[in-house]
Amino acid sequence: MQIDIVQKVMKLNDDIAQKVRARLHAAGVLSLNLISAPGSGKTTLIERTLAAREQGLRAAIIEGDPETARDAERIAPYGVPVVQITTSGACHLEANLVSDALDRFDLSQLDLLIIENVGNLVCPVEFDLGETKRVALVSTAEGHDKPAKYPKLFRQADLVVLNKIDLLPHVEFDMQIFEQDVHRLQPGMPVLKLSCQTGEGLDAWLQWLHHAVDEIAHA
Amino acid sequence: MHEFSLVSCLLENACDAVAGHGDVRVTGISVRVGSLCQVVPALFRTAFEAATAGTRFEGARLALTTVPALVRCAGCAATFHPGDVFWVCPDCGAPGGEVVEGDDLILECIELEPVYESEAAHAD
Repeated sequence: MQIDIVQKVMKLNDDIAQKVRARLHAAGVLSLNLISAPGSGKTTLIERTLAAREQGLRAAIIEGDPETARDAERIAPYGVPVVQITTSGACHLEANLVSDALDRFDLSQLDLLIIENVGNLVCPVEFDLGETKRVALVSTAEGHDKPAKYPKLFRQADLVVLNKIDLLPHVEFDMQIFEQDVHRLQPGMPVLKLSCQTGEGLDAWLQWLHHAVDEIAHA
Repeated sequence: MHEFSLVSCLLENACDAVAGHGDVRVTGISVRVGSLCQVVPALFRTAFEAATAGTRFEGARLALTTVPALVRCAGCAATFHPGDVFWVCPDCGAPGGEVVEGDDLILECIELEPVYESEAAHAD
């Protein structure tokens, strides 16, 4: 006997993600899914963002890592709600993990939720977490070839952030090829260049963030 | 290496589908694999074998059919099968585009056979 089904295998994850999106949207919370390789500066970007945020911007953070609560410990001094998800080795976050983490926040007291995904440029791309916007973070030390090698992330992202531009004189990174490849994958994609170390370019990132928060709040 | 997660999702879907069909053994599962969904068929098979060991799916034939990417040009709306990482519309030359097909992993059908009472009793 044969049963015909024809259903997306990811349906279970996608259904939960839709519920997460609806909860966040109803509460007027902007959520970002921050995807990058390990060591590109996701946590540092979050730290700089929290340190520089405008008075009154209420943020919360979800930290995804295979092991340890080290990232949550780094965020703790900023006095914002933080939930550490340790995936026990898994290479990505899934919507049910985010949904459970949401239960630990008072969404009515938030404007912004940043979800730091597990450091990986492949697997996290496949799992909708219910985020409002997907941010691809790359650092100059990784080289300019990441968009061409990991195209799906750059086709799906809403924003590309290039970190560690202070290292440009010391690493092999061709800015022209990088930007050209990003735009061959997604024409018109905004690329923000910054250094979490020196603070250069952070203003544009904060501006983008505040604009996106306003968009959600007034939606 | 997210194939294990995808296989668990697949098996959850498959469990739901066979529920209500009584005592059955699953002998085959057919899955359409979009060429853009970052699944390596060999890894998917390994994950499937590992995840199904000792379950009602053990030994089921896993049929994987690749679905090529089909993209719609954002400029002129022509559809085309991209031949490269960087998509270029063959009609108007515009880069990028929107995915029409090839981005999904789809559980297509499941083959079952009844487990006969004597067999079930023997298995107990």
